[in-house]
Order: sequence, then C-alpha cells, then structure tokens
Amino acid sequence: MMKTSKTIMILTLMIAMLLAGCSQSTSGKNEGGNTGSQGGEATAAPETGDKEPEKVKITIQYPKPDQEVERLAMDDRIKRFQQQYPHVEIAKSDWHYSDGGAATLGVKLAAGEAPSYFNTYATEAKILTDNGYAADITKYLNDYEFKDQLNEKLLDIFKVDGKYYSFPQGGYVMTIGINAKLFRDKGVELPGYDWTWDELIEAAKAVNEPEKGIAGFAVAAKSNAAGWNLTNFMYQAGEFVEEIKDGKVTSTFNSDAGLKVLELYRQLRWEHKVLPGDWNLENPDMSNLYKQGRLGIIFHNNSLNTGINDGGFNVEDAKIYPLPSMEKGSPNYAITGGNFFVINPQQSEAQQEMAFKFITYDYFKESGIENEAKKIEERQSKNQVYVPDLMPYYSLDSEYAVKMTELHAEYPGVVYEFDKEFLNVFNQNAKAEPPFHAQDYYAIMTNIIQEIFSNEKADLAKLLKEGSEKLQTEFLNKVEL
Amino acid sequence: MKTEYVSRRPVLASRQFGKSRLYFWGLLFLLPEMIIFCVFLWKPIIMGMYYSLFEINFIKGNTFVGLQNYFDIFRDDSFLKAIRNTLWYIFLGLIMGFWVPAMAAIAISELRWFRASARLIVYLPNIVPAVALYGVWRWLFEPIGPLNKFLSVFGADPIMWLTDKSMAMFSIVLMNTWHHFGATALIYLAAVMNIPKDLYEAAEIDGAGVWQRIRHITLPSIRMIFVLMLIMQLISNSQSYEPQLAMTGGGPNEATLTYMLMVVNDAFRAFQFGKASAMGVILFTTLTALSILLYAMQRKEAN
Amino acid sequence: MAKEKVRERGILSYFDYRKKTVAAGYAIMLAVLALLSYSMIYPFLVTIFNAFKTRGDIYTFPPTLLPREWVFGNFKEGFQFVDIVRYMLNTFAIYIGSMAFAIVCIGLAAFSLSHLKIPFRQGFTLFFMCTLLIPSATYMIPNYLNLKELQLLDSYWAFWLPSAANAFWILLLKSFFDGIHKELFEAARIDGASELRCFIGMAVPLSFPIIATILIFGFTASWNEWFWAGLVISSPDKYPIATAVYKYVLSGESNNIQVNVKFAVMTIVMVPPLLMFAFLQKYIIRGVNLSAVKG
Repeated sequence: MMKTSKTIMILTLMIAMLLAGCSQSTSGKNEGGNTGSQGGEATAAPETGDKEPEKVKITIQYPKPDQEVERLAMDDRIKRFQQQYPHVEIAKSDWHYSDGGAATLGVKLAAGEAPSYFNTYATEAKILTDNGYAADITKYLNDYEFKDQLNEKLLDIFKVDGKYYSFPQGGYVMTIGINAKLFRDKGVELPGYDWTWDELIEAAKAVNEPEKGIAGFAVAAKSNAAGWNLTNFMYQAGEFVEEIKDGKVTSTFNSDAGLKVLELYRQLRWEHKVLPGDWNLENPDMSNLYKQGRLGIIFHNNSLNTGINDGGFNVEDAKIYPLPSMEKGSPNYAITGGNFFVINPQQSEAQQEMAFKFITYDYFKESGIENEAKKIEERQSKNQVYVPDLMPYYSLDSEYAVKMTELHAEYPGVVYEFDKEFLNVFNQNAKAEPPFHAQDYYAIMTNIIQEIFSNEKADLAKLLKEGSEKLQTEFLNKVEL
Repeated sequence: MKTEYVSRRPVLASRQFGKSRLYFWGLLFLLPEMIIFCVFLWKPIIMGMYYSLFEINFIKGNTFVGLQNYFDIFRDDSFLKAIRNTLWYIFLGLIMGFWVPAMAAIAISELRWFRASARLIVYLPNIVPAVALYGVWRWLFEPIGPLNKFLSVFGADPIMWLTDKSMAMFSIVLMNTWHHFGATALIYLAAVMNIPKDLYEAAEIDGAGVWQRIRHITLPSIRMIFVLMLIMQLISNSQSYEPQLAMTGGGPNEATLTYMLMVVNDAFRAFQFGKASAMGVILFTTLTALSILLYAMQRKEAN
Repeated sequence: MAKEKVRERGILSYFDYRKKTVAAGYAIMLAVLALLSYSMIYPFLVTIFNAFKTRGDIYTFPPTLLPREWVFGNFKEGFQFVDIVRYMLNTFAIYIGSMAFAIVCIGLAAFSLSHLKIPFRQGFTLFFMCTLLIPSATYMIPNYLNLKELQLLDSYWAFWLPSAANAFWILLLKSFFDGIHKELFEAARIDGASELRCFIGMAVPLSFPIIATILIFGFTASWNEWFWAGLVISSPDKYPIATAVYKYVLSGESNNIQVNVKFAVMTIVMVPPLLMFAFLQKYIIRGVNLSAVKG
C-alpha cells in the first residue's frame, strides 16, 4: 500500500515537473526577445533627421557586477552614444574573453554570436591575428582624430604588415615585485634599480628560507607564461629568438646567450635553491604565494595591485622594480603587454565602424577623466590604492597625459606614486614579443624550463639545440614572408 | 558470428508480422531514448568527425584538408608521450583506485551508527567547490606540507609530489581517487544494499565466516556493477584531463600530459578545432575496436 | 521505517561481533573510515571557515583551519554581487526538468534493454554505449551549432532534452534491472499487467536506491556545470548558479571581490546540494521487501 501511494506521488510529481518545464521555457523565450528590443525604445525618439541612416546593431561587452563603477560608466556611455548616433541599437553581452578564452570565442564565432568587439590580452595577439579572428581596423584608426596621441608601442603589438588589428586599453612593461618587509625583517638592503642577474640572485638568497616555505624568487614555470617570462631574460642576454635571413625566418636561440639564460634558470633552481619547492607555478599561483608573504621577489607585472590591494601589504612594503640587466650597464629588456580591444571581423562594416566609435567614445575626452576619477574614488572608499597604468593608451607626451597626471595628483595617498627614478628606467628597453609563432616558441621553452627544474643533470646545450630545431622545422619553416 | 547472423535473417523475415507485435513494447520503450541520442549525441558526434577532415576557421571558412590533421597528430612529439602517460594513468587508477569505492561501500553498509553521515562524508568532495579542493591538495602536496611532515616522522625524505617527474602522475591519481570514490561508492552501496539479507542469514547458519560471506555472497552479487564500473573507469580515465590541468598543467615537462589534455590545449588554447576533432576520432576508433575485441573474446570464452 | 529496523543486519550479525578477529577487523575498518572521513571533511571546513576569516587571515602561512578573528560581513558582501537565490532557483528549474526527462526516457530504455523482447539487443546497447567513447570536448562546437539549429539556445530545453542522452545512466539502470528476477515480471504479465505497469509498478520501486543515486549525481552535475551552461545561456538572468558564481565571483583577473567574500559565496552555494543529498540518500536503503511491491 505504502509503496503504491509513493509511486503515484512520484508520478504526479514528474508530470508536474514536465508542465513546469513547458511554462518555464515559453517565458524564457519572451525574455530573450526583450533584450533584443531594449535598444529600439531608446532610438524611437529622435527620428526626425532628414537623411536617416540605416539602423546598426552592435553588441557591447558589459562589465561584470563587481565592477560597479564601470557598469555605471558604461550605462552612461551607452546613453550619450545613442544620443549622438540614434540609429545605433546597442545590446549588452555578458561574454568575456576571460571566460574560457579561445574555446568560448571559437564557439561564439562558429555560431555568429560573438559581440561586436571584445577585450583580450597582448599575449593573444598573434593567435588572433594569425587566425583572422581580429578585424583590420587600420582605416578607422587612420580617421581617428587622436591617432597621433595614442601610445605607439601598444599599437604595435597587434600590428601585422603595417595593418592594425586592435585598439589598446592599457598596458605595461614587464616588472618585478619585491616584498620589502621580508628584506627589512632580515636587515638586508634592497638592491638598486640598475640591478643585475647576480644582484637578483644575491637578493633572493638573502630572504630565502625554504624550511619556512619562503622562497627568494619566483618566475612562471607553467603554461606558456613560463616561456614568455623567460624571453625577457633571453632579450637581456642579447638573444632575440628569431631573425629574418635570406627571406626566411630563422630560429636563433641556440646560442651562447640562450645557454646563459638556461644556466641562470638552472642556478636559481639547483645551485642557489631560491625558487619555491613547488616551482610549477603560473601567475595566479605566484600571486598567491606573494600575498601569503612567501616570496621575496616576484616576476609579475601586476605585483602592486596583488600585494597592496589583494594581499593587504603596506604601501611601502610592496616595491616595484624594473627588470634586471645581465651585466652592469647592459640593456634591461622587458616585454610589453596589456589589454586590448579587438573588433569582431564577422560584423558588417557599419557595425565595425560603430564598434570602433563606441570603444573610443570616452578616449581623450573629459568623460574619460571623470571615469578615472570615479575609479580612484571607488578604491579610496575601500581603503585601497589605485595603481595607474604604467603604459596608458595615450602617449605620455600628449596633452591628455598632462590632464591625467593632474587628476592623479588630486588624490595623494590613493593614487600610487611611482618612484621617479623607477619611472625613468623601467621602460627604457621595452620590447615586443618575438614576431613569429610566439606561442609555439613559448610552449617549447616551457618544457625546457620544466626539464631543467625537475632534472638537476639536464643537458642544457642539448635541450636548447633540440628546442631551436623544433621551432624551426615544425613552425618557422612554414612561415611565408 | 557472421554465419549465425545470416542464418537468422530469413527466420526474422518470415515472422516479421508476428515479431513486430512481440517487439512492440520493447521498441516503443526504446524509441524516445533513440530519438534523443540521435538528435543530441550522434548528430554532433558525426559532425565532429566530419570536422576532423577540415582546417576549421570561422572567419576565413573551413578548408578541406583530407587526412592532414591526422598526419599532424602522428607527427607531433607529444602524441606518443600523451598516449604513454594516459596508459600509465589508467594503470595507476586501476591499481590504486578501482577497489577503493567497493571496499568503502561494503564498509559503510556494515556501519551500525552514522551510516547516513558516512555516506554524506564520502560524497562531500563532490559538493565542495573545486577551487577549495585543489587549494587544499596543493597545500598537502607542498614540499613542507602535511604529507611530507607525516613522512618525516618515519625519517623519510621529503617527496616532491607534483614537481618530480616520476611522482606527479601518482600524486594526481591519489588525489583523484580521493575526490571521486565517494560517487562510485554510492553506486556500489545501492547494489550492496539490494542484496537480500536472507542470503547472509542462511550462509551464517551454514557456518560461513565473515570473509567467506563477503567473497561468496557480497562480491558475486555486485559482479555486474563491478564490471560496469570497471568499464566506466577505463573509459573515463582514458579521457581524464581536469586534475592534470588543475594541478600540474601537464608538467613537469609533459610528465602528466594526458591525451585529453593535449586535445583541450589544441582546441581551447590554439583554435585547432580540426585537430582536436581528429584526436577525438582516433580515441573513439581505438576504444570501439577494443570494446569489440573484448566482446568477441568474451563470446569465445563463453562458447 | 519500522520494517527497516527488523531487517537491520548486513554481512555481519550481532553474533559475529563477539568473535575477537571480527571485532578487531571491524575496529580497523572504523579507524580507516574515520581517517578517511577526516580528510574528506577538511576541505569542506576550510571553505566554511575561510568565509569567516579576514582577508589577511586567509593568506597567513602556514594556514590555520579556524579564523583568528571571526568576521560575519563577508556573506552580506557576497550577496551584493550575485543574486544567489535567483540563480539557485534557475538551477533547480534546470535540474527538475532534466531529471524528469532523464528518468523517464532512460528508465524506459533500460527496462526495455533488460526485460523486454527486442531485436538486436547488443546493437542497441552498443548504439548507446559508443557515445561514451568519444570525449564531448572534441565535438563541442558541432554540439553548440546543433542546439542553435534546433533553436534551443538560451532556453532550458537545451539542458532538459539532452539530459536523457546519458549512456552511463542507461547502463547503470540496466544493470540494476538485470538484477530483478524475470519470473517476477512473468507472473505479473500472467496476471494481466501491462509492460508499462511492470515498469512503473515493479522495476522502478525495486530500483529506488539506484534512482536516488542517479538523482544525486544529476543534482551534483546540474549544480556544478558552469562552462557549457555559460555558453548555451546568454541572458544573465537565466544563468544557473555555477555559471553566475564562476563568471561573476571566481573568474577574471580584474576581480574586485576579495578572497574571503568568494569563500562566503561558495559556502552558501554548498548548502542546497548538502540538503538535497541528506534528503535523497534516505532512499539508498536496505533491500526492499519484494512482497510489498506486488500489493
């Protein structure tokens, strides 16, 4: 008896669920329709123009809920933009490149559902342009009134054959972070900004305490970030990885300079033992160690934010350093990176143009400065520090840069004040990534780094030779100039 | 097998009409599932197989490249390494992990108190967010972490759990077994609970000891589930990549690069969807061939 | 409930515990289980206690389990970023629909494979099982395009319908149905019961433990799925909880949410699966009395 009634109960429940399912879905479909027409309402009013342009619909990237200030700024921007361009319909997309990167972008493109533009990183530049997944924006850029005031070094990152494929949002030159508290506790002086590899090793050794879980130095050894980090040292040693010779791209890193870099990595791991015991780390892992106070020196471009705002360091305890040079006086090359906007090449020309206009709408404008002020005030309200971009989208000689600096000066103690001397040296030798098959080259180097770190007796010369040959035969030989 | 098939055919045809009535309910019950499988699984799978013959590009359009993707895979140095690692992972998973859920299920079924809590506890790792789990295991595996502290009590040298090439895969299997055995244990538990108690009663009266009861009643009763779980473990371990991705990223120097991790790297990082599809097809073909072979061997044995 | 108490015995009888070797073995078993339980509870406790820590406390090394200073504001802050209740309800809607489809379709198919007369039984089994042999990541894009073609994107039907396309659950249910004696159904058929009645009235109740297990697995799967759901659903107000938490709380490099608040959100998100488990696991009980089913 009990069993039968239970069965009936379950059956009715199942049927109820099915019905609930049906109604749920229909309401869902309606909602979908609404989001599409949202922009339509706004456009309805100013329809009086005599030469009414055709309607254009763009899909913009809407900031996530934790970015309150950005959300408000975006709403405001949409409103202002539509006042100026009433024929543009704007839909908000919740997809971001950081939600799964290439995989989700691939799916969205396959279905023709990627937003009109999206934000990405410098490290993705090559893979996106190689595949044609970034629209050529040269002509919009040439018409852009502030083109001359843009930061050229950042523009160059997505520049292929004289054509531009992205618009910079903000950038950086690779830097190093130092936890000054560890040094102070040990009574060790911090090195100078003109430091060398040897000084880096000495500094790392001074605070290294493996038995307490404190490592002197950490550099990425996992994923392509490892190869990317290593390339900074390659440049410093005078090895630029690839060169164009007799109309062919040649891998050059099987050289004495290359060997010196591998030797440096070997020493860090085996001779001086200054790396974390669990050395297989990428950026978020290293950041965690840094925040835990377990790293003296971190090879990380965002160490200030990580240390002060996330890790709760005192402002004077988180130091930012330029990359070292190999020897005193040799150039301390550092790779540039940053955030970029890429326009979806699947979109029509009108859409691409509007997307470009939308991206740049607040650039070089008063509204951009107001937004910056709001962002600073948000940090202030949370008792945090605002770290300005070291390489903003505007060139540092521009008028706009002056205005920004004035704004930053209005918030002493909130806007992080970089050391003057640091500002003079950190980007003297900024350099872009290797131009061909950078990701494949990084992948090869990552394996080499891991071999060196896990095998004390690794044959460095052999690894280097094999790596260079692999890059040449499997990838560079396919490049047609 | 073939002759049997041929000889049965005319019989089938002649009795078509009668059979259709006989089969009516069986086929009717299968129908919804057949439709769903065709529409939601087989269609995309076959489309994916078709993709493996193309260089996929969503802007420039797909280019037919024939078997080029397959050649590329066979030429890739990592391919053989990934296969070797995957086999190693499957092997370790079998010897370290396969028996754990069954044992746990039997043990839990014998608990006199806290049985419900024990079930909940072994299932907890499936509920706790992965971020927290991997974080805790990272800490356990630290060179100065709890596991090495524990070993040092016995005077053993610290083990580089995740950064030693010969240890890394072992550590991942350890973690993965811990992570997932609870779910499998639930299945065994459902099976163990289904065994009629009279059987134990009768065996005990006949003088069977505890171990004999387990061997002659419990284990044979869950044999079907045992075989099913074995097959499932083999299949799922042949496609494992998440713990590797989370803990080592396939390192050190590809020591934990599994076949699927290679696929994921190709498809999700490098936009090489054609190549990823081709790797899927290779895996599919291999596993299907293996299943058929196993099945044939089983048949032969039965005869 | 009362019935269970009477039948309460497993492999061991009360008589067994009096034997020294059995008692010792039992004690060892308990010790191992206790150790295992400790290791399983630990990450769970870490998540909970981290939700009550200050940010600095979480980054203390070596880590401590208990907070040094209890903070309760993290939960409030967490709620501010994500409308947790709404997303949880979304997940429930997905789960309930999925399970309704899955149990009905999979149950019928498994019953058919196990107890009904069908031609090419092996062929059908293979037809289902082979889908397990190809990893879903390798056909992710065709899968998405297929859903687009069927116009199921951004609707929960994209989860409900394919939920029944699960070969593992078919095999699992089939092997449980296989364990039921054929004679039972023969007898029922002679009594005039239809196949549908055999299925609903006998096979299903007899397999309650495994159906409960599948319901638990289904819940965990729905609850944790963020990647695929985040692709298929594009309206933010329709996200399931895992996608919302992943997108809005956990991911992203420029995330404004502090780590202790993240743990507070994760702690809240663990509650429903725990309750669900506590509820469903009651059905994983000792063998059902067969005579009760027939009546």
